[in-house]
Amino acid sequence: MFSLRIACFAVLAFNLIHATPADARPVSVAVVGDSLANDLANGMEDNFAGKPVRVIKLTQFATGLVRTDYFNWNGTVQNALRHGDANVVVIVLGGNDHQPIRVDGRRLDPLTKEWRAEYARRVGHFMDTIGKSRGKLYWVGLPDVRSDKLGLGYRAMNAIYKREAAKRKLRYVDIWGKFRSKDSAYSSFGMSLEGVKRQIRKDDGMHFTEDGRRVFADYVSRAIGLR
Amino acid sequence: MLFPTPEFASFFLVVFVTAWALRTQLEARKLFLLAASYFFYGYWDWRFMALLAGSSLFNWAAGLLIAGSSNETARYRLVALATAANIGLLGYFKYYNFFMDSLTDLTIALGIQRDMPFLEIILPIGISFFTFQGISYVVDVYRRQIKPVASPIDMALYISFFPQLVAGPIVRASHFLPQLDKTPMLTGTAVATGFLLILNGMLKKTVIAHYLAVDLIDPVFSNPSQATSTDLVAAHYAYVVQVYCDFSAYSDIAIGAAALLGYRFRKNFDRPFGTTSLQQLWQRWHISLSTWLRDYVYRPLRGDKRDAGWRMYRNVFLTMLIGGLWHGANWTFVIWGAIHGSALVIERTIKTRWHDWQMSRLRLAPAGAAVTTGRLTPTPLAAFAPAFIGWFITFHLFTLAAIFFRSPDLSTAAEYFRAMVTAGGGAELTTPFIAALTVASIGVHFMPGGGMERIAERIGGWSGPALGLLLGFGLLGIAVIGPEGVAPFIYFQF
Repeated sequence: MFSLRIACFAVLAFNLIHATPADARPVSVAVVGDSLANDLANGMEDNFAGKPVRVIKLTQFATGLVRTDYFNWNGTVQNALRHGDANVVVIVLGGNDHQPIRVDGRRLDPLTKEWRAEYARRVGHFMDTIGKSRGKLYWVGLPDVRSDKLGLGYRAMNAIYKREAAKRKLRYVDIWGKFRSKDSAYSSFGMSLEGVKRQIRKDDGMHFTEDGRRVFADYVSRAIGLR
Repeated sequence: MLFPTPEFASFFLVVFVTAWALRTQLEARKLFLLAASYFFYGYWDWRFMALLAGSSLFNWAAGLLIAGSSNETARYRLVALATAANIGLLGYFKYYNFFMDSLTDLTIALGIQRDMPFLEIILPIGISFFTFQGISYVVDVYRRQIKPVASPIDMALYISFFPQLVAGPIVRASHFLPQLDKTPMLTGTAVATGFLLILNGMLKKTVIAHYLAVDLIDPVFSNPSQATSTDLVAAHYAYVVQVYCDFSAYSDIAIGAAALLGYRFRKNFDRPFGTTSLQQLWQRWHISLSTWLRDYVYRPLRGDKRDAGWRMYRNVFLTMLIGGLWHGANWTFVIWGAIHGSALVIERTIKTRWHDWQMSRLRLAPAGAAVTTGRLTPTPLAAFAPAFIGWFITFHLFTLAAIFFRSPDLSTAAEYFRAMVTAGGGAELTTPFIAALTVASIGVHFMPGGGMERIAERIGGWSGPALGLLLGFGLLGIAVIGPEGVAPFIYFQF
């Protein structure tokens, strides 16, 4: 796992270093996080193609703030952002965190009081870490998902992100329910940017399709003033 | 309930003990295994248990109706209806929204943009496998290759038997149903085979496939535009090893688990990366699907005549295209199938011409020339060179086409190909360990086959506790060297 961390850091640092000054674009957006962040970054790349906005992906699939033994975001992102020139940093993280946390040999089950306290501590610590970068910071909450159980967890986790972000005067972007159909239930389908009904969420009930990620990116870009 | 988990181990232990306790009571044993299989399926999503039962009963009734009719036209209509119903079921769950999405693209292209009636459909796990088993059953009854099964319990167990239910291998009724009526025997060799297959599967899935996926393939395929050329090239090789280790592992564990319950499944993979032609590769890769496609797609397309020329090529191409689409409702799979179909057509064309040319040379050569001058008898180098070229082209065609198989959409695949050529850069994620794991995993395909069977024969005489220790320590060793956690099997999504 150590070699994986080193390799990931190398990739993140490489991306940042190579994203910088030469082409001197006015906006450089670093999208940080897991596979949902990757969807957002891909959508931004599509939407901003040919425009003076550079998108830097700092994404690692199947990671989060719970399994720090597997991938430590604090150690990785701090070094990566220090070497880059991103003037906007957008974070989407937590999609894989609805699972037990192990602290000193104890198992804290998701959404218990102790779990929430420990998770809030980790989120706060990560926000402090990433807050040391030079860019404007935005934390994007988790989207609604097909699974009711997971959705319940995500709502509680979003409340934690929102609270911790407010404590640090960090802008929180709420996307919950923003890609739903009119009847307000979770739906895999919605309006594309071209204004036609398309499948916007993948069959896994969580991730975004090619059309969906553009809708996702458009919503977040507007929320953070990029469009 | 994934195979390499404590939940499955506990479940299997209960099933194993109870099934052998019921060894002499065949009907009770079948009922128990049926209940266990439905529990296994319902553990994921109980809502689709009715669908599984409905599919089994429908095909059972269709088999009886087909066999009961002596009128050939009626038989033909019945089998066509049953097949259409099975395909309709699969089409609804798997392809409806893909069709609507493609129709949306078409209306946009024609400038008559319309909102299509998309439906919120959840794909039932294993549906591609159990509908294919249903189709093969009714068609085999129609072809009079098997007799219809009288008992709905037998039919339901054939369709839902848990080792093969969610990700194959696609078991044939003619092979499995007769085994249900024999008193099962648990020989030392069967136990040893079962244990070795399970250990082999666990090693491939939880160690090799996992390391390759986590350390190289997933990061590279998630961001191909930001990976180096070296990593992209390495990841596309590693990916075919991952798919092989993942899916053949599932097959191994399924075949091993069935063996421990006293049933025999046929081999589903046989060292496919050591083959020197694409035709050969498809005879050794996912054998149960390849033979299914041959028997239930290619042969009906061909009809009674043995076609040659363009009709045969068209049928080969269409069979592979359908095989591609079977893997998923996505244009990436259609292209993957089309690549394999086209390549098989080209390969057959070249082989036919090569064969004709060699025949004409033999006809022109004076009698005894091959023996006396050796001109037509290939030297070892002359024999090796075409084999190597055949392997090289086959393997690379397979690995390059797999980029479409792995990519979530066409733009990612295109980006992958572009970056592989233009990105430059050295190995950042491809560690010596990952490279060695990839090369070694391909290398074992060149070893002689049947090694596991020989070992099973040799250790089959060991006592029960000794074999138990082998399994226990083997699993422990795999747990120690493998990374933590279990990723879902790739073929679950199909």
